[in-house]
Amino acid sequence: MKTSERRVTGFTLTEILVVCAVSATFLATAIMLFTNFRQGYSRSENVAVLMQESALFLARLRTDLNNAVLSGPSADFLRQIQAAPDQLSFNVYSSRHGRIQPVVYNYAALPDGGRLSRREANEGERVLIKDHVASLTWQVQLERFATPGSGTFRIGLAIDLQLKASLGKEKPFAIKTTIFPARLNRQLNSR
Amino acid sequence: MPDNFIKPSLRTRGFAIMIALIIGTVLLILAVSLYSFVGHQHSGMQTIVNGEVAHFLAEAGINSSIGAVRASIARSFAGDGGKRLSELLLKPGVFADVCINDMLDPTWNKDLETFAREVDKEASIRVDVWLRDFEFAETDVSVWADPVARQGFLVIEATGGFKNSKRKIAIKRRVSVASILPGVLAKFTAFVSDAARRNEDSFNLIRNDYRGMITDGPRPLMFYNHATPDAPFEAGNMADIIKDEKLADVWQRRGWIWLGGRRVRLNLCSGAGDLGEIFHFYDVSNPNVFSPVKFVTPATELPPAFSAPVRIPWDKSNESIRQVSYSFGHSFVIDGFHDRSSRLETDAMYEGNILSAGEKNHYSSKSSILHLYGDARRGYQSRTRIFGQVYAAFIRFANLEVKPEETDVAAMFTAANPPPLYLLRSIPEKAYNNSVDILEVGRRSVGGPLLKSGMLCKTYSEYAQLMSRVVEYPYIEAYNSMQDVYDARPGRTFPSSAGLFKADSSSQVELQRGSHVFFQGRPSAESVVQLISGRVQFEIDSVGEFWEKYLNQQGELELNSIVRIRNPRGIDMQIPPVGKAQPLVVKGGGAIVLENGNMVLRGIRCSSPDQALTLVLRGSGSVSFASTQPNHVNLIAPEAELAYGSKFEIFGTLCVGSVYADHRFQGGTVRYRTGQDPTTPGYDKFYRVFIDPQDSYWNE
Amino acid sequence: MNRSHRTGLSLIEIVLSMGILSLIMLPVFMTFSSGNINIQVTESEFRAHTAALELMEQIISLPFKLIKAGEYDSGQIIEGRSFAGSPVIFRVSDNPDLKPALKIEEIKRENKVVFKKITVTIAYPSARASDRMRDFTLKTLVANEDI
Repeated sequence: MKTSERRVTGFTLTEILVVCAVSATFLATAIMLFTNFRQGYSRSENVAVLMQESALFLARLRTDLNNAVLSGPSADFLRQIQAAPDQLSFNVYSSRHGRIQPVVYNYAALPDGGRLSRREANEGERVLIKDHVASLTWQVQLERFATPGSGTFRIGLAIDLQLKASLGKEKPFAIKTTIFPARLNRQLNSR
Repeated sequence: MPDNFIKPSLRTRGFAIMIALIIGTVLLILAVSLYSFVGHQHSGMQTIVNGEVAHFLAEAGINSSIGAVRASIARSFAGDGGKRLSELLLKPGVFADVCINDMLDPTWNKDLETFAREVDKEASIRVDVWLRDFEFAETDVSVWADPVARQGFLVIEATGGFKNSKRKIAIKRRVSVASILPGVLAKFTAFVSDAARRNEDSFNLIRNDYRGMITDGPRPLMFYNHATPDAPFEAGNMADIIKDEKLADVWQRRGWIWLGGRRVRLNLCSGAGDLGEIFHFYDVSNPNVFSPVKFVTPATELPPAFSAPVRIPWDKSNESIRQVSYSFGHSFVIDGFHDRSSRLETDAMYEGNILSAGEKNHYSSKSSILHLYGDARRGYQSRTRIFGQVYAAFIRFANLEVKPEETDVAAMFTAANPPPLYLLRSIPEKAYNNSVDILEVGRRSVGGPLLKSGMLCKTYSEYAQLMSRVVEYPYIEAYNSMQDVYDARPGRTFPSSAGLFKADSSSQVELQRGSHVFFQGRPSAESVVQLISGRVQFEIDSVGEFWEKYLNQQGELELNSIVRIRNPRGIDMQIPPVGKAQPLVVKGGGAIVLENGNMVLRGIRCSSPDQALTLVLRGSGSVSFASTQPNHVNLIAPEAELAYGSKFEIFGTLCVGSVYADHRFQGGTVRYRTGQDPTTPGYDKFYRVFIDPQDSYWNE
Repeated sequence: MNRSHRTGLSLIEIVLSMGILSLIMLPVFMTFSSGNINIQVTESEFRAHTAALELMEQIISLPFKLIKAGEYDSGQIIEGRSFAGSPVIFRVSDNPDLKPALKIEEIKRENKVVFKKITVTIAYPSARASDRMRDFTLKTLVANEDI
């Protein structure tokens, strides 16, 4: 009676195969890219975070050293910046308090990544980098040039910093530089 | 059946596209977030980088402003281009914080804008320059209270902007305004701490002979306390000077003289020019002719023998013995210079030694003692006040007035040439008797009496009243009282010692101009040295470094500040230094404090009336002169000795501990520089502004 | 009574959706790969910036007289090498990819040197092993205090 009107719902085998093939290709590509992306993302993120932390730390230290002043007896002026493996200290002029006060940077080396913190005068200690420091060395570099007259001094702080992410086996982010406090040097040379 | 495939429903068709879109959107969101994270990292870094660029822009702002401020100050003091800054800093009175951007050179900001634009068109530099926290530096009236001396800070705040980062750097430098003149000593021509050199009477001791030539002893030291017509700056006008001399208090406007230590005698002498003043008992209407003013002793003060004529044998007794009637009077002249004879200098001019041996010993005289101070010429008589235990001594030549009563003898008498002169010489009491001869000076027989002392005076005390002797003013206040004679004041008589003495009111001095009092109290050279040391703006280690720093290309001194030379090795300072031309030209005046060592001056010349140089020597060295070139300088060395060297000339103030007075001392002149008088507005020219070349504080 | 439709995708649908998807995915894929490069560029920039600061600061720490005018390229700016033939030496942290350049110019007014303008330029590779070099520049002025 109505046999010619019957539709058959369903997929043919060909259709399914084609769809599977296409979607498989698609999904495979997508997954591969995704994995790559995720890896790349986490790597970039780690590097980016480490880079930002080191940049902020160096900028903070640079600003502090730009504000560094000579204070105390003039015989000690060449030892104004004191650097020990775990501590860096010097004096700055704080316009907020209108006086010269000490600034101390503390480095605590820990097996899973060290910690870097800063303290100004009697205020609380603020952590700058937490658990990311693979190694840190800072060294006061005092140069003396034999220029006519009594010679010229130049003080710099050589920093070698390596940061690494908490987990992962990537290479650590390393930065090595020397910071020269210009105003301090100018004062030193005009004594 | 194929139709179903070919025409799917709308819903089915849209369904797939929608799925595609949804998946795509999700992935797009993920990508965008990754991108923005990375971008965020990037911009985070950029901000730090921009901050550093901004920091260096701010640094450039600070550095360019320091130069602009110094140039502006130098220009406003040199007088060209906008005096507002110098007016501001030199205004007496309280000084509020002020922004001085608009007082700086207008091109300063343009330099900064050019630089900023060169860095980047989004770069900006903004600088504000302030003078802040100024306080008065000298307020003690017993040391020196200066209405303008002040200290404060120059504050420069620079803000550098680059893209969205701003950095602000502020620096503070000390500024000090101080006078380069030596406080209260700027009112003195000379200040000698111990003029008598532990020995009374030894100041300015001169010996000379008939022709006025100095024969022995030191050459004179002379002081001019006003602007003479030949002064290199602020030369005086002759008419004004003569007019001023008539004023009783002209000394208020003059440079003063302080002779401290033990009592010091100034003996007056006569002679123009180099030899000293003709003191006030001479008639000086013609200064080149010395004619002493004769003082006639009133009859009431004479012994009775003078009241009526006496008959005495005349001195022509070998021709004929005759008794002539003579009437006697008594007069005297007061003189500081004698021995115009061609005799040896060991002989007194007048026969019989006017001074007794005792007096000669006491006043250590060979023939005459001359203590010189002053110049007799018109316009150069430099009357002023002397502080200190100063007394004057001079010789009183007593003259017996003989008048023969008989006309023929009188004619003989007057015919004698030179006129007969009977001096009453000084005789000590134990050598006196009634038969001492009173002889005519040339031992001539001119018809005068053969006199013996007993004929006129019964006792020694009567004779002592009349005889020549050295008279002392126990205390004098005036230097060069020449003008008293010039004025021909009537009724001048020989002053009595009782009436002369004026108690010294402990030498209190007060200096003021208008309503401001600079100083009140007893002047002390040590406290002036402390005052100037307190003004020191810059320290240098050695004399060599000083010359290296402050001599310009032409060998002129450009100091413009107050500098201490530490001189640990006690090296002598020669000014100008050996090898440089004499005199040293001072293009930018100032003050130098030298610790230790000696000073040797060989000529100093200030290039303009606005310049002055004050030299302070600490420690008990010596100051000497190795050239006759004039020195425009204020020399403050209260512990030092003015040693012998060449004859010198100072135009300024001289303060020493003592004067070395033996025959090697060549003497010299000190002229007061009236432009430096603190009681006149000219004193204001001598302030200097100094900006510390080092930052005192800085902060970012 | 209506026809029952066959659910399924026609070829056109597939093609269209693939097209749209690829269009959307293209920038996404590019971002994935370029994200890394961006991080790398930022890192190079950071190192260049740090090296520039190091060079700039050591020069402005010197007294004015010792800052000799001239142009110095990466062949002269080497650790331990003399600066302009004077006793002062350069201090350069080890960074082989970076090429520093230094230019110091005198600014005169009325024949006196009032300022020195210091320009530090660091050329750095835009990615770790790339050939393309980019520039980072810092400039400042230093004043002559001896006037």
